Parts: sequence; C-alpha cells; structure tokens
Amino acid sequence: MRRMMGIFTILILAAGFSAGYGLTGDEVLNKVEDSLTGPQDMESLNILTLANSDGSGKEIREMKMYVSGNDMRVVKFTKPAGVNGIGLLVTGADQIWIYLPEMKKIKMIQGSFKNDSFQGTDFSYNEIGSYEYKKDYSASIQSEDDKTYTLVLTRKAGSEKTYGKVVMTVDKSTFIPSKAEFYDGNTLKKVMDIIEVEKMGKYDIPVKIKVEDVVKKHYTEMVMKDVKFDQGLKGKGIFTQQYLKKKE
Amino acid sequence: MKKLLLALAIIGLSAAGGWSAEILGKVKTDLRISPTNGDIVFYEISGNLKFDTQVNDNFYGMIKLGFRYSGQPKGQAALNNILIPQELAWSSSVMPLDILIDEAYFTCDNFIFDGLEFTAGKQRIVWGTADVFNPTDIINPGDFYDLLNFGKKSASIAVNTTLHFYIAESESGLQFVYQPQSPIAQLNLTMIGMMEAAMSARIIEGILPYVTSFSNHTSGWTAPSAVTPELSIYNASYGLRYKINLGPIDLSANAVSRINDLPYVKTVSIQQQTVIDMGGGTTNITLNGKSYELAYYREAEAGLDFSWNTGLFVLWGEAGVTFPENTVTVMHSDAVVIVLPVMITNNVTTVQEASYISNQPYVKYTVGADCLFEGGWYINFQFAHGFFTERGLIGAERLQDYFILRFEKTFLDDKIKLFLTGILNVNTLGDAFDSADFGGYFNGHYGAVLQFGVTYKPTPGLELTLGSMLFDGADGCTIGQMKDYDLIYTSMEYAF
Repeated sequence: MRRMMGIFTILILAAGFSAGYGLTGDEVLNKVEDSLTGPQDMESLNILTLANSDGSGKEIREMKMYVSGNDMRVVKFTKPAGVNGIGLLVTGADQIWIYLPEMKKIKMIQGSFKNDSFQGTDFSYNEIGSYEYKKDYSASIQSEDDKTYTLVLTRKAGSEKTYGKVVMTVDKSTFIPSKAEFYDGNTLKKVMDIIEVEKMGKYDIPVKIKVEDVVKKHYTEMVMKDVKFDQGLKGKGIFTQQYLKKKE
Repeated sequence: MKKLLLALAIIGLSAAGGWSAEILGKVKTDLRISPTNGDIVFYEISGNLKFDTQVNDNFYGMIKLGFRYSGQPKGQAALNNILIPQELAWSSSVMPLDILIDEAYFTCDNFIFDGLEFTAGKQRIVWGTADVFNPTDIINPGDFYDLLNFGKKSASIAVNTTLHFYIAESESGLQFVYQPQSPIAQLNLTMIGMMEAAMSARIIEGILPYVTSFSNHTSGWTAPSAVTPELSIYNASYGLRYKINLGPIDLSANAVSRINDLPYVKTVSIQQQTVIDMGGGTTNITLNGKSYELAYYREAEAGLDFSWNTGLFVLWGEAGVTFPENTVTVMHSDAVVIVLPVMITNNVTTVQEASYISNQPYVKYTVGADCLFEGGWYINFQFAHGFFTERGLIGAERLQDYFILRFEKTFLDDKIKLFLTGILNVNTLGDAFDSADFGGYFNGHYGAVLQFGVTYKPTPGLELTLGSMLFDGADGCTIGQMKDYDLIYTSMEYAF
C-alpha cells in the first residue's frame, strides 16, 4: 500500500511538474500555426476595406482567394473595375506569377518584394492568406493569464521577414491569436487584430482581420465570406497558370 | 451609323438575353502637344465596354466593344483637317467616331476531353514570355495606331486550342492556333508618312545626281494602294507552341507560318518628262506623277523563349528565326524623252528590281531582366535586336539594336508613380564596332528617347498621367528619324 502511495505521489508530482512549466513559446507558436493552417486548403471571397486610421478615404475591394498549405495561393481581384481580373499565383518561394488581363499576359515576378504592400493594402504579399511564423521566428512566452499567452517572436538569422519582433496575444482555448504587433527594432510598425473567429466544422477560421499600419495611419480590414475548405483544390488544377487566367 | 447600330444591337442582345453578363468599361482621354511648335498631335477620347460571363465551370464568353472619338475634324478624302465644304454637314467628318469590336470570343475548357481548352472568335492570343519586346509574338498582329503604345498587339479572328497536361509535376501545354485569314497590322499616318518620305528620298537620290535639274519632285503620291491578302485558305496562319513550367522557369518553343502583318513596297511607278539639250549639255527632268503599291508576303518563324525567376530578379529571353519569302520592289519609270535641238520625242519605259526583304533567314531576339524592390522601386532592363517594325538583314527595315532601361517608384500606397524610361537605338552595334571610326558611325546611326512622367491614382479605377517624350538622334536609325516628334502628353483613364 505504501508502495502504491509512492507511485501515486510520483505521478501527482510529475503532473504538477508538467503543469507548472506548461508549454514553451515555440510549442505555443506551433499550435498557433497548426490551428491557423488546419484546413488542407481553403477558398474564400474576401472583402477588403481600406481607409485612413480616422476612417476617411474609404475604399472597398473584393477578391477571390484560394490557399493550400503554406506556399500555394491564387488571388484574383474582382472589384473594383480597375483591378478586375488581375490575379496572382504563388506555387513556391520563387514561383510567383501575375496575370494582367488587359494584355492577356501571365508575367513571372520575383519574390524579393514579398514584404511589400499587396496591391496598396496594408497586408504584404507574404501576409495575404498566410499564417506562417515558426519558419522565421523563435518564440518565448512574455506573460500569460487564465485566457491568453503573450508571445514574443524574434526573427531567426537568415530570415527575410521585415519585422524583427512580433508580440502576439494568443487565446489559450483555441490557439488563435487575437492580436499581433509588428516591430522594426523597438518601433511599432503594424498591428493585426483578428476580430472575428468562426467555428466551421472542426476548424476555427479567422474571418475578420484588421491590419493597421501605424506609421502611415492607414488600415485594411478583410472579411472572409463563402469560406470552403478541404476541397482538394490542388488536384482540381487551381494553382496553375491555366486557372489564373480564368474568370471568377 | 450602321456600325453604331450593330454595336447597340449586340449590347441590347447581350443585356436582354438573360445572359447575366458582367459589364465593365473604360474611358480614356488623351491630349498630346508638341513642345516645339505647339501642335496638338493627338487628341482623342477612347474607351471600351466589355460584356463577359462565366456561364459554367467550363464555358466563358465575352464581347469587348471599343470606340475612338477624335476632337479633330477629318476629311474623308484627305484624311486630315482639309474638308470639302459638303463634309462640314457630315457628323462622320466633323466628329469622327470609330466603333470597333476589340474582342469577341468564347472559351470552352475540357472541350471534348479533359484538359483541352478551345477558344474561337476575335481574341488576343498569349504567345511568348518577354516583357513588351516579344520577338516571337508574331501570331498577334501589331497595333501601331497609337505611337506611344508601341508594343501593343491586336486581337485577331482565330481558333486557339491548348491541351493542358502534366509531365511529372510540371504544368505543360501544347497550343495550336489557326487564323483563317492572316491578320494585318494597323498602322498610323506618321508611319505611312515616314515610309512615303523614304521612298521619295530614294527617287531623288536615284535621279538628281545624274541630271541638271529635277523639278516637281516634292509632288504628292497619286493613287497609292495597299493590296491586302485575299480571303483564301492559302492566306491562313498557323502557330504551334509547346510550353512547360519547371518550377521557377517557364520555357516555350513555337513555330509559326503566316503572312507578315506589315506591308512591303511592291511597286513604285513614276511618270516623268526628260528634256536632253544636246546643244547646252543639260538634262532636265520634271516629275509628272508618282505612285506605289504595298503588298504582303509569307514567312515562317521558329522561336524559343524562357523566363526565370532567380529569386533576386526575373530574367527572360526570347528569340525567333524568321524565314521570309524573297520580296522585291519593282520600279517602273515611264518617261517622255525629248531631245533638243532636233526635237526627237520618244517614250521610254524602264523597269528595275531591287530586293526589299531578302530570303535570308534573320534572328530577332530580346534579353531582359526586371526587379521589384521593397519600397516601391522597379527596374527593367532589356536589350532587343529588332524593333516591332523591323525585319530582314538588309534595307531600310533591317534589324537594329535597342537598349531599354526603365525605373519606376511608387509613393502613397501606389497612388503616385514616377517613371523614367530611356531607349538607346543603334543601327547597328555590329556595324559600329566594324567601322574604323566608331564615334563617327555612332553619331550618324544612333537615336535616343527619354520618357518621364507621373501617374496619379486618386481613387481605384481613375488614373491621371502627365509625361513627356523627348527624341534625339540621326536619320540613320529608327528612333533618330523621330527627332521632330517631341511631345508632352496627358491622359485620364477611368475604369468602371
């Protein structure tokens, strides 16, 4: 009996040891990425609202987006008329094409601008439809409370990411970040808020995201509609130059 | 008027037929002014309306109607601002309006079997990968209507089929294009004027050095003609292209048989009176009339192109070897020869032939690279051997060399863009290096153009442009011949 009590005590202590130390920052970040990139693929109609931080100069844009994994994307603008039909195909790090409907031309473009603004929005090309962090950042837990972790992500050596530091607030129950602040040195440059997360089947999908460039005092809010996932988009030939030309 | 009714009928049918087509449009105003003499060299409102629909996953249809409205009255006969008085009563002369069918086609994916894409109708065909200077893109006819948009290609009536398939993981396609009638390029009056000036110069050079006087040689051309290819199955064009994507590299190879979209001078006819004064030892010629006929010739082309995303920049190359038919210009001279003082009169006809485009194969090529930098910088550099209008190894239209460098910088979330383009044209680099006096040869055979300006997009769909093009150079090359065409231009474009 004494021996049984001893084993029980060890088990309790082991559990306590584990609970006390919890997850590491990198483990939380892994879970964040897993939760955000859960679906094998995703299709959505995205409504983008661009405006100055004070709400003036509002513009509405609409685009169809297809995502598979971390590096396959097709984005096609449908509104306004000035950008209708312009499409972007990404199939890998240095495999990016833009379709210009006016000239019926598919043009290869290089990837070093990936951190630049995506078609005048506050998202960079890298950030549209992508939630890949662990490849470029190592994470540590800055603080935590009952509901959230606050992570500090530090850019890894050799990474091409613009921001050296990201402070991310993560919901403990879903591992979906609610806020991310992007710093260049110690200067805050950009803030991303995941305003609305919707449970769709087995996935938690961020469906309303706002990114504000605090330097330019300008924001872009993206609302995702008609979200479909796990359709086997890759097998349907979506991530091809042939599909890039096709009207949505 | 009939054209307008036709256009309205198409619009009405597409709108009323339950086709649920999406309608997009564009309106553009252009004003170009010569800074040297204040002439307005281009003044136009143009635009288009596009009706298209994706009927289902596999079927797509579209019609794009264009229009051009010139602010300049245009005489039907003289094609300039000289009207006959009765034309002042015609709206087509006072307010010239062109209605065009820019494109009208349907596309069927998975046609007959999976992977086969079939498109029929008037369409712009994707051919080649280079940026603007596409020497292998000869399946689409040139559109030289607007001199500023010099790389523009037109749509043409064609059947265009592509079989899409994969080799391992690589996206690949075999494309076949059939144009029942080889399309021809639309030219502009400046090009035609330059061609006529070159022919006049050759007539003068062929006569003036050998006579005492040559009068009336500046008279205009009488009844010139351009004989376009007849509607015949023998005047069709064919193109075959294979393309493959190998990760960051796109490759394609193509072969085309077509009628060259630009005309050549088939005949030049002159009528003259020659007075030979045996006593005074003089020969005086008076030109009584001159005319010419343009025609088209067949050629075959085989080309290769690639585009490679190196990660730092995109590099491309495109080369096409062309096998032209032998074309010659026949020069007819009908002369009334009067010999003084004995007053002998005789009619003398002479016929001379000169090669226009020899049947020697020639290679037209482009290599280039471009790069987008963070912060809105863009750089594009190209070297091209052969401009859009150039062909052959000999003659006035032989291939010349071009260096093109373009910078762009955007500001304020891409709302403002500054651009600067420089083009250096040498006819040709090879000849310059072969010359004993490189500097002397270069000075006589170079041309340069500097284009700079700014575009402003205050709101999506609206773009305002202010720019300038400055030309310099010698008459011995294509761009040098345009040194009197400096211009300041503005445009406003709105897409809705």
